[in-house]
Amino acid sequence: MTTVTTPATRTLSDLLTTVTEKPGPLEYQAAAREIERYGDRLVPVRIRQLASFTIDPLVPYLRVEAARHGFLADVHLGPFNSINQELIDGSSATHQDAPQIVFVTALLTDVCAPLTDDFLSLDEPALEWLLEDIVATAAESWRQFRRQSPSTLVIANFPLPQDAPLGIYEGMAERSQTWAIRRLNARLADAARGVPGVYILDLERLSTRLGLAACYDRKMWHIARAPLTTAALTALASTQAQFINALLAPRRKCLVLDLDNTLWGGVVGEQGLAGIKIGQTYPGSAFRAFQQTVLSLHRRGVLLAINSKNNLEDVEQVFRQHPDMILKLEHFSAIEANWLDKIDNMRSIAAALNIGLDSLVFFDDSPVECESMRRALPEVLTITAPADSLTYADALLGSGAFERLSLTDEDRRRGELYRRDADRQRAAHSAASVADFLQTLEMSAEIRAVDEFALPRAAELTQKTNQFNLTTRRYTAAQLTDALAAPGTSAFTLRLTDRFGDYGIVGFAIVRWRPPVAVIDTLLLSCRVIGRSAETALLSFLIDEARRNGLEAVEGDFIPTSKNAPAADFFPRHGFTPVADVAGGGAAMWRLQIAGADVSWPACFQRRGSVAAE
Amino acid sequence: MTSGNANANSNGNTDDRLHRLVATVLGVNTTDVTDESSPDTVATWDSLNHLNLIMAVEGEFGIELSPEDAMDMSNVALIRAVLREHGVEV
Repeated sequence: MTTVTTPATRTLSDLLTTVTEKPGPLEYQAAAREIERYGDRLVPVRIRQLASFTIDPLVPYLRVEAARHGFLADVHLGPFNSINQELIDGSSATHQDAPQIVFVTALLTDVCAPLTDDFLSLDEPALEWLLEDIVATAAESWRQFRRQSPSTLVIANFPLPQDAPLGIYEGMAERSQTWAIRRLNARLADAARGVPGVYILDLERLSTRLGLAACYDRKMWHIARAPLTTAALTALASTQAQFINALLAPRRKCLVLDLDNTLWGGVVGEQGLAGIKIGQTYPGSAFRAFQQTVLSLHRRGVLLAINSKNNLEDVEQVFRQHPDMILKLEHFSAIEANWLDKIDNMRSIAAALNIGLDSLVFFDDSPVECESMRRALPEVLTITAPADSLTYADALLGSGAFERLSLTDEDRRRGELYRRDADRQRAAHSAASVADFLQTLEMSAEIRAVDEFALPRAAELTQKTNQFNLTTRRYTAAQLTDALAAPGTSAFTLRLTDRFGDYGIVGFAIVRWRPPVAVIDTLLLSCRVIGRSAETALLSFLIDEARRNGLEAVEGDFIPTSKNAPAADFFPRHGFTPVADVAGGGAAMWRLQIAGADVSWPACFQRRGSVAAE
Repeated sequence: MTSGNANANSNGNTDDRLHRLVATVLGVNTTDVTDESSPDTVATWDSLNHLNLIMAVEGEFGIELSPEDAMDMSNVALIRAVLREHGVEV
């Protein structure tokens, strides 16, 4: 139990926290009533809900969610199931009421019952006609409404029904219901882009995120035409509140981030470059995922800044030298890494970027820093990172702080990403042969001796890789460290990049130098990159290394398992000849004379910074 | 079966949790709620608040009511009876 505060002494933030901690119907209903008392600190907003079903239960949820963004929602309803009349008729209650925002939420079964209830009865022309008619009717009502009213319209699109008419065949059927509803939603979006002041609320995506089964309450539908579960009401209210905020509040432009235990785990000043947690394996991978979320906000046009108690040199070293950082120095518009007060730093950032404090969002893991920021600079939206780093992104995105309803100049970059994605698909279709296809990927491989950063990932690969794995020898990080400490053993990682992205470390080999022979103890590839001839790149590298060290031959064993068939022809394919059966069981030793070896670096790979090879 | 304290014997206190819930949903004082309270005796117990009551009962006690349960809960004593059928003693 949390500390009980009596309603008389409770602040608005306390009240909202009680709902966050236990987001049940009772808490929403109680809080929605109490919010009235904080009206003087909230910006009033007049809302009208038009729906084809009983939307009344949404009201307390919306009042609470709107208050999180600083709004006191005055919500008016209906009338029930007369959406088009309300929009078109300039003397309707909706028009008379002069709301700032009208949310329209219709169920597809109310708009066009055949599409949901008897979809399979529709032939192609009937279906096409229905889709066109629904969009044309809706768009006409939006235009009529907007001609007579300055209010903003937010139209929910259509979620999929819970059960697919064609069952498990639905996913591949031509002109399925799923296809038809998604097509309908796409056309609604096209139409909405053509009417200023009309926006689409993506209820389809929202319901998919929650899960359709978790959205629909059959009992409430049948007894009260109220189909949405508590979970769905909460999500819908939260999304509507984000629209209210995006439409009426000034834009937040810059995300100001703390570093230690925010962008990476641990404290760089204490644990050093190699000690912080950022990388391919947990817990570093959780921070990497959060960095990816931040980068994606940046690509949508959000400025980034740093406000951290640290030595600037330590910070720059991490960004410049740590191989697993997703965010780079060039992504940041302002960096305040010093031992000054974070509040002063915040003012410096706002001044440097020439934007107001009310354009800033501050994200920090320290509740103390956050509390002092909130007190000193209430204009800044301060978000405290949750205790669990896996949910950092939820806290940041859930705040809705950077939600926008228009495209900015920076958004155009997204177009570039889409284009590259489309290029990849085209490449896959058009490539005449596998070799040609691999050429089009513009791959580069970086092979380097395993270092302290790569070691956990390398150990993880030995633990997890089953398919392309010659020997399936498992090593923990500690065992690997010990193995490498022994003289005559080397290990190399392969990192693969192509024009679509960085796959990270996806290949690994351990070699034991036993002059005049080099013995491959382990050679494996992550299943994500099988079929790209990365194994040949690794082998070619190892042969070069062996040659450089004056060795005569490379040997290795293949230990068959139930899963490693993809690696079974590795040795014969590269010209190795069998030496002996090892201990029966089908395991065999293979040998390649370096003098006669014909294993060259694959032409489809660019060779990048192979430290030991040159 | 999330009900923490199933001490069904001591009458005065055991009623509190359900009475408190009903009072919160209907926006009245807990002291105004009795087992006999119903849509006929509480002005704010309208059809919308009946939906809110169903959702609050489900959410609060972690149970799923049938349509029959939901429609039968036409006074506080009947809500208590429905809860009991679901193994929740309040």
